Amino acid sequence: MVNLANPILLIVIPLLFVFLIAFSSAFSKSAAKYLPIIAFGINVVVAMLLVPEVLKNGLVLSTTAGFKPPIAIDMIVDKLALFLVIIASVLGFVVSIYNVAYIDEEPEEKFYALFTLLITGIIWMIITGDLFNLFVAFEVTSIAAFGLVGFHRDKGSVEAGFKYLVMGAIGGSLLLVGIIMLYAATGTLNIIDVAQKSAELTFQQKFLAYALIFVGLGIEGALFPLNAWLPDAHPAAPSSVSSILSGIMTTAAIYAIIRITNIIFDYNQIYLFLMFFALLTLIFGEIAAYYQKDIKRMLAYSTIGQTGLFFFAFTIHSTNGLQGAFLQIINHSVSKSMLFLVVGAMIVQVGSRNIEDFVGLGRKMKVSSFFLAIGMFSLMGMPPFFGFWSKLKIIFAALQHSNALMIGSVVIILLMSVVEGAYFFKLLQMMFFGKAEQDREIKEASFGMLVPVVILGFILLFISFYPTPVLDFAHQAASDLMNKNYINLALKLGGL
Amino acid sequence: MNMSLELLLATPFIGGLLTYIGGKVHRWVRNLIAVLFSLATVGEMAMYYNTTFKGVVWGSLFGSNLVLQTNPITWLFLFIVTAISLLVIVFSIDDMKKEEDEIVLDSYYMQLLFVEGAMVGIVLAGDLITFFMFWEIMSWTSYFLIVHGGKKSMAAGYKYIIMSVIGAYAMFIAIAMLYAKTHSLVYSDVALALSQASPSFIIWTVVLLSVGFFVKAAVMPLHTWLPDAHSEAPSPVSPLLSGVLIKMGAYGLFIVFYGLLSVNLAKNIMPSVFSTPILLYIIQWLAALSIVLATFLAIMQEDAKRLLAYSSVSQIGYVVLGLATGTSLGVAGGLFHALNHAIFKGLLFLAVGAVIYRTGTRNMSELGGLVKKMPFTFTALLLGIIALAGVPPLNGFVSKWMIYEALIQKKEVFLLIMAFVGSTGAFLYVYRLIHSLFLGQLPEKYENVKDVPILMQIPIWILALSTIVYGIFPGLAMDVIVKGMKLFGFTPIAYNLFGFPEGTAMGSLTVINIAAVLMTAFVAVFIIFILFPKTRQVSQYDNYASGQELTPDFKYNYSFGFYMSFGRVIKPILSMSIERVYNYWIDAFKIFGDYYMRRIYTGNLETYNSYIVIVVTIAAAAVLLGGKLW
Repeated sequence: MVNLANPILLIVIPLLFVFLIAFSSAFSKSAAKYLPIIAFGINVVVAMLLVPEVLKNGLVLSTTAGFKPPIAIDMIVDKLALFLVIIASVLGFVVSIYNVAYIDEEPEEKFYALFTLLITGIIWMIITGDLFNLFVAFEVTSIAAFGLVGFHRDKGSVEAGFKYLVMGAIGGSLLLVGIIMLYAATGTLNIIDVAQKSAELTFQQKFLAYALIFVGLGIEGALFPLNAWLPDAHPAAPSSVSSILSGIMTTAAIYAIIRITNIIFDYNQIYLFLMFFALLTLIFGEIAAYYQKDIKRMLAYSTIGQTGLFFFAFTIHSTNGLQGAFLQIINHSVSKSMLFLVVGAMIVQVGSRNIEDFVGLGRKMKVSSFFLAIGMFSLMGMPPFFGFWSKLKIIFAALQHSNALMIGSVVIILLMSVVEGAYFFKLLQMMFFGKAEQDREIKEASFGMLVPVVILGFILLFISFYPTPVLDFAHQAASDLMNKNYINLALKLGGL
Repeated sequence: MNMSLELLLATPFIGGLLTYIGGKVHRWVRNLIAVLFSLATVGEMAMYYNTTFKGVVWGSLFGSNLVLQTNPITWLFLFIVTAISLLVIVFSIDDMKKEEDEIVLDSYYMQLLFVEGAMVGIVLAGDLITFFMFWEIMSWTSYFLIVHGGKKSMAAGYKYIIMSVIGAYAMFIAIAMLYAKTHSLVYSDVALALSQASPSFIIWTVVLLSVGFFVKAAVMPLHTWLPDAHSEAPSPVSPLLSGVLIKMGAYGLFIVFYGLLSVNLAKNIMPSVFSTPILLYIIQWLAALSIVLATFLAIMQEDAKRLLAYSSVSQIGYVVLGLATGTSLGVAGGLFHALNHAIFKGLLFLAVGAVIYRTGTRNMSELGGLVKKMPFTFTALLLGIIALAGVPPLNGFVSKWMIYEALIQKKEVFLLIMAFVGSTGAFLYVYRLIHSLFLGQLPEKYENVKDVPILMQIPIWILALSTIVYGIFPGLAMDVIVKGMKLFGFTPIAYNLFGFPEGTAMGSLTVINIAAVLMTAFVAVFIIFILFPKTRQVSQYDNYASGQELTPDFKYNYSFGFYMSFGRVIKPILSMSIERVYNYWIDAFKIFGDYYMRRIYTGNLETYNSYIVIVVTIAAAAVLLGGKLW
């Protein structure tokens, strides 16, 4: 019997579906619509089957082509990776459902192929155990994303797509150069192997390689000042794509930075440097979001701000901080994806992205607005929603170190939370209590677009009111990463 | 397992959800559910009244237990919260009928019950995480209540929520600092940790916590949200906000200063002025400033609800002033005044709400002479203003007397004078209120006004009776307060049902006797007034009207700019505005932020790519410098 709990299936099956989708138009016009749902449905099942394995062994490792690492390409799913894989698969599944009702522009089968490829690339980035594979996955993701951002083929989308293409390509090259330098220094590409060999290298030998990898991934991961493509690309893309870009793609890049920092560059000083980036990202993202008139652009800047927040939590460099970062990642992925989906449905009804046109929507699109409000409350960190637990954890973790730097950072974070509250409440107030000047014919979003929103909304509500398992799991993942348990586990399981 | 506290906490929340669902069936189902569940909350409160529950653990988070607890003081506040909420919900049924959109009403009742539940949670909290969680829930649910009031209320609500969030985050920092120290945020653990902490740590945490409470309690200079929010909110919400919600700030101060910290500890770590720890002394001054300035502002208002809102700032000043004295009498007075203020301010807001319900305006210069049309509301409002002004035998008198007495015993003369000024000023604005609404000339358009429906009368009656009951029998409330304060280490005050017996160091008072003296004087003056009438017949062409022909729309009495001459005297004070300072900073932030954001996110690909080059260059420079860039 085939063992379904195999990480490699997480990539292979969707990749197979990408080809199926590309050729499906020859047989059936509408098959392309539904194939991604099946692909990610299978992925969710595989990810769920991996949960008991990972909880039992702490790690699942699979190799390809019958070789042994470090020669063979391997996939490593530890708790942290599993955690993100589940998010990515669920989001892929849910957003695929949304696409059926949402996408009505030709060429549809190309959209679905790229969309499936995008999420496949993201999952690949998360579970790969090999640096060169990381680069390949990064490029796959980027190329799919370039195409999807420009999908609408109007002036704005093409321009945004082009900007993204140029910056993404620069990022990819820098990442490649960094990986080459690391390979030159250590002679291996396997992450576990690199982790062991690079321990013998000095700080200076690794620094440039690390810096290049950091910049390359930082472009995709929306760190200031490398994130300038993002506020153009996210609004220009179709809303379902924005949802994936915002919800999991930037997160995957940040995850890669976290992994690589942990493996090759785990120096205390570097965290100070990273914290500086994180805080700048947070400040500029939140403040810029405050001024936006375009709702999707506002959410895009808010994504930058949130990225800054969980990257900051990572740079606290403690188990608690990492736990906070993972919790915030969940919160952001679920809430922000849901917000983009809701907003996409609203834009379809209103026919505009201007915030002013959203006046009074709370009375017209009751269900959508309700979930929009929940998502925003969670992002603001208002109890009893999940964002409250993650923000609580981050602030608690930060103030465990009671030095001036940390207290200053916490003050900045909370001030930026106030700014965040300011723009979210402005929108909510307008939607629920504002009165439109002329009465418009606006209906509730179509059923097909509402279902995914409701699914994500219920996931959010569920983890809000029953956070304990998530909190525990995040804690285990954090302590595994912090103590580098996963390296020992991988070695024990024949990772080398 | 005893689930009573969890049940008490859950009842309003469950009720809120059911109310919303009930609204989908019929509006009467919804109203019935709302009333029944708030009644059930009151019932549960009454059932367990004065039972002490110690540390009911209801959860655990990040290694700290989440605990619910009660002591007599929490029962006092629970009583305020649940009783006023019930009355407000009953009052809402008729008052909110004018809102034609049923879904708005569904969410209105849901939010009302949620606010009630959140406040119950705050009071029952036995640890700081629970406290903070419900605090935040209270902030955003009450925000939704405020913005129900119409267009202007949106700006008011926005200001309210932003200031609340800022205050809450100040608390958040303090709580996180405490967590880092103790890893358990249960009150007793925190108190233990604070007793061993360094003075600077204690002062920082206490100050940060107090900022959060000051915002909610609207202590100057953090009060700017209150006049807008309380006046723009729907009529039934105002009593909840003014009567109950701002008391949560007072409750928080009580918990922090006497639960987490103790007066003795505070005295040890900081210098004392007038035998008050300096931090409390500063709070006393802030409270006294609130009393005086807000009274002046209230005198100058033209809007009846705004007048009451400023009056709330002033009255909560008394509560905080009493709490910050640190003596048994003062603290008891502060707590008792919290109860009394909830009663009479709830009464006043409901009575004014009744007038608004019938006339549709709250602009005092447009009203007048309603006493013949709404005699019942008039009586209730009269009782309310007598209580507010602190005239025996109504309830405001006793608590104010206790606060004055405490200040006299501490020989804090300046604060005492300020408190007196506030009380005298209160006479001015309450007279303005009742005169402009009920006395004087009745505008023609209100000829057909009637008293309000019975469902709106009942809550007003209950509150009006309470002002008398708690005025004549202060012992009813002192019972709980004294018992509770004993637990917090205060020397108990001697009291009986009618007041404070003679022969103790605390001072003595029997309300009945004073009231009897006052009544005699009143009757004497009244008899003189009747016996020697002094009316003057004025002919139509007297210079009263400057020879003008008097038509019915001509006002015989002042109604606009009532205290204009007094206003001229205090003009320099009124022209100061802390709000302008806040707005200046907000504008600065907006302009500055906009300017720089446009220069960073230019939309120009070359600029963006140069950012990448800059970062890579810095990294390369770091390598050349040998990895030493920090």
